[in-house]
Amino acid sequence: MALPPTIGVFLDADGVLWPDRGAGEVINGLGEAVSRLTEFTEALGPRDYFRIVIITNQTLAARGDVGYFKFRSKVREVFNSLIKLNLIDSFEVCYHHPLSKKIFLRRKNCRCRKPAPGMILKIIRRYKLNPERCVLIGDRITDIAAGQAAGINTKILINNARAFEVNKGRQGSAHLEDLLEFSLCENLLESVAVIKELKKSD
Amino acid sequence: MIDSILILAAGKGKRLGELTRITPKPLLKIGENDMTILDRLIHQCAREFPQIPVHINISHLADSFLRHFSSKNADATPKFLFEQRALGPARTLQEFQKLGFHKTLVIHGDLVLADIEFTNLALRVKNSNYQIIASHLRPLLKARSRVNSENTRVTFIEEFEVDNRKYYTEQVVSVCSGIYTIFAKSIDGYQSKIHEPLAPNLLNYSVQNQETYEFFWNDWRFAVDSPEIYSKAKEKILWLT
Repeated sequence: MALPPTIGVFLDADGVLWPDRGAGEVINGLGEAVSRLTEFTEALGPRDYFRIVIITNQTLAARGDVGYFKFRSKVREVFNSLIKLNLIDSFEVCYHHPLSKKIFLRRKNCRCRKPAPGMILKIIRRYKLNPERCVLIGDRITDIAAGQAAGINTKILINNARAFEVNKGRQGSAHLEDLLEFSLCENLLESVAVIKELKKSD
Repeated sequence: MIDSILILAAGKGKRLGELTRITPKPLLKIGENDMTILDRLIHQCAREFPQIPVHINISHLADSFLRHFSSKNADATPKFLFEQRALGPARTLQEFQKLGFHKTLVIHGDLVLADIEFTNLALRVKNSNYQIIASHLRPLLKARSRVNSENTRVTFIEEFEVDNRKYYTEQVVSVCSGIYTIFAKSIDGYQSKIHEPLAPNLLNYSVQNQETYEFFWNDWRFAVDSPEIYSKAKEKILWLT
């Protein structure tokens, strides 16, 4: 019997894996992320059925407010720990910013910084996922816009008082001009019910 | 049968003045237990169309909707359509149907509808394959539009210029109730403008391309577009409960 096709789960980091306490929180987020992802993956069911990937803009380093190389190394360490624990499969990080103090990180039309869909499309190609069978979970409307631009059908917004704030440097993005569709959940665990609806369609 | 329900809730509700300064019109409280106009519509839709997804378009004070639904059970939460800049009902509907929905029940988010009539409308919607425009009777002098029909088949929607209305008598006419089924194929090719309402141009385009019938709203129905009507609607609901 053929195995059912894999469901791709794209997770934003800040506000999803740990509370949104401002840019750069990833450095302190491992413990909280392990706890939330453990709960999440256990509720989802068989792990093989899902490709779980973190996609995140790291604005603090992107703006040049902290040392880029040291920060990137720490971020890799955190996310690689989650891979080792089999809580995620992969991660993609965007370190570009249109107003970066560091010239090598300054990009006006970066294809990966959400709301652009670059990071999601890269993962979809890597794992040969069907966007219609993918789920995006984020806490900002820019996450939803990135998912929609990548063709993802199921987009979940984790309720956040700053959900509709658009940071400087992202305003005017064509991806934010679309009619953006999403379901609302209170936290990562609650989103499992929405993902299971997608699984039911197998 | 419809495949989607779209509740229009992106407007600014300017005609309600202070009442809608920090609260979007659909979130004004209307019944007991802090029930809002929107909650009431969602309950009516869930009761009559349990399998049909309900979408709400939001823009103005969008975060108020998130706060409102944050305490609710996820099962009772509809899907949202966010517009960074409000598109207007005509463009919103066209963009919405591009997401893969073909037959939509469109409801203005400021409507307070009689339960029994909503049930009757739902029965008609479930058993038909034509478009429906719900309408009600109103003195011509108070009407901004008129639904013209032949044997209940809608021919066109007429909009009145305010200045011309003084020439009309108190004749009673049929006007749109702000609740319709609209099929994607009937408005395919329509060039909507930003901030354009559904009536009259989009509805007229639509009735030319798809058989459309009137559903007469005989019982009470309120479109909460002034503080006075809001008070009347609240009184009615409180009286019923």
